[in-house]
Amino acid sequence: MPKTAVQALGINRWFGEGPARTHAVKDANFEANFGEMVYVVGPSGSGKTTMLSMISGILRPDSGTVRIEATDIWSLSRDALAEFRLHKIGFVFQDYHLFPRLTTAENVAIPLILQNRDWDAALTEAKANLEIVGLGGRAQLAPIKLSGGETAARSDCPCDREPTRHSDSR
Amino acid sequence: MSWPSDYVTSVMSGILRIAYKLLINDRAKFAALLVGITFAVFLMVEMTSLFAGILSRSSSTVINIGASIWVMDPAVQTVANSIPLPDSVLDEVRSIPGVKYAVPLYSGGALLKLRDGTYQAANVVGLDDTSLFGRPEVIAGNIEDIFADNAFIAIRDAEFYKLKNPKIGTEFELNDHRGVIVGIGRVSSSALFGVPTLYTTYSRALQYIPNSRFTISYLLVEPKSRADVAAIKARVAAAGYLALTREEFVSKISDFYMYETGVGTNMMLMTLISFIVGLSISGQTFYTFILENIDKFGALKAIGAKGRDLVSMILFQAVFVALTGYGIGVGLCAALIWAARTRLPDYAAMITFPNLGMAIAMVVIIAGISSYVGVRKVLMIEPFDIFRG
Repeated sequence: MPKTAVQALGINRWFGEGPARTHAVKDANFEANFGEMVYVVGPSGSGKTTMLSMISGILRPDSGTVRIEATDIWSLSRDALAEFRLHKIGFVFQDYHLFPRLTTAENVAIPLILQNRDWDAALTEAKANLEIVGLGGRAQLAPIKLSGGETAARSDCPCDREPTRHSDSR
Repeated sequence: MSWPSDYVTSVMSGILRIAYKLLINDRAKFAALLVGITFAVFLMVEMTSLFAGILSRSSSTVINIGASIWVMDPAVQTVANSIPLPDSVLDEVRSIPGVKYAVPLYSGGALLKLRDGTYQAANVVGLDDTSLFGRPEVIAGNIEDIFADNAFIAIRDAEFYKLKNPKIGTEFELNDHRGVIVGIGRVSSSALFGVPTLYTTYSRALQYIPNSRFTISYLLVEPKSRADVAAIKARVAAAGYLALTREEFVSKISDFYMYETGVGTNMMLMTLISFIVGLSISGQTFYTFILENIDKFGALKAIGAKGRDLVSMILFQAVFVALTGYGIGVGLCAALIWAARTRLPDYAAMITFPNLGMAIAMVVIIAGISSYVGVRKVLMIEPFDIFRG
């Protein structure tokens, strides 16, 4: 019996005011089990990013519930939700949003540093993860010196071992 | 480990280390921020140091003479503008219980005719003939020679050269009287008004320099104990005169220059302008720095950074820039004063702890306002806006 990792029930989200008010996500339900790889597919403007944002804890739904590993994430306090995201959710941003003034390894290590890991230990783990995606030799370079493919690979780099790490908005 | 950046980062928490690297690795912005703070601090410290130097010089006679209590006419505003007291005041003050001793002091201006025929204004201090209370440190000659005929002691300060660098035995004329330099002295503080200073006895000063009916410029009083000061002041006040401790007299002179001349207002105005310029440059640059990284801060927020993490990053960056700029600014100011004194030994600037305290308070305000604007911006950014690109 597969265990449920993510469950969203009846989530809704509106944007805008008055005549411009738009119902971006309407009564959406979503469920993903551990071990599954799920793709969300739809035309541009259909609400994919909005739904994923509500599921991943960065956009509060107007109604509905989201449970991740049985935790109702939108019942958590602001800080508790941030802590939850830090340990349970992974993001690959559409524009990557890498820090150009940090090295590639330091960029990869940021989630670990936010978890209060020791700086050196976080960098060691980040470099090990970069080795996994074939960027071990690029660890000390600034992200701007990576190719487009390398940048995407860095963004996919597993910084922790949580199963929901790679909720990819692309 | 390379100094200082690796050392600095090794003692920081990870989040502050990220903030530090983001800041210093953006060299153009970091330099612009430092320049803004540095020049604001430099100007603020230089202005206030000049003012402190001027205030200190304005009280030089009070500092150099060193009496504990000064008795004067209540209308006196600065030591340079004394109002003569009648001799009876001397007797009256000496009769006050608690007065250990009281001596007269003459302080006034004179016009000297030097040996080469040129005229030079000078400040003449006449010391009590009996005690020579308030005498300068004599570095050439003997203090007792001041009792010789026509004797004067010239003070070697920045204005000394205006007497044509006199030596012992150099003669001059003062109001058709012959004067002779019998010694060279040194005092702790130079005068403000750019004229050389001569010391002689009180009686000779009265004899050489034309005077009004009353002749005592100030009475210098030493109390038997500090506990007697209040009673002495009260008795002097009852007699219609004013007794001030040395500190009170210095403060009164400072207040005069600060509030009753344009000097204080202008200095404060320049300091305020420096503050505004520093705030404008640093605030603007810091805000631009935050704006350029706003998506990164949003990404950090989405990943799981808490508001306090981001606030601590921004505050750290602002404080780091502020303190670094403060240090460089104070260093530059000290270097300028040192360099100026190599050419102008009497350059009236003095870096004091209150000056440094005021400058750091203003820098903290600049850092606070700059970071407040950044913090507001970062706390308002929604991770969702970053996520959808």
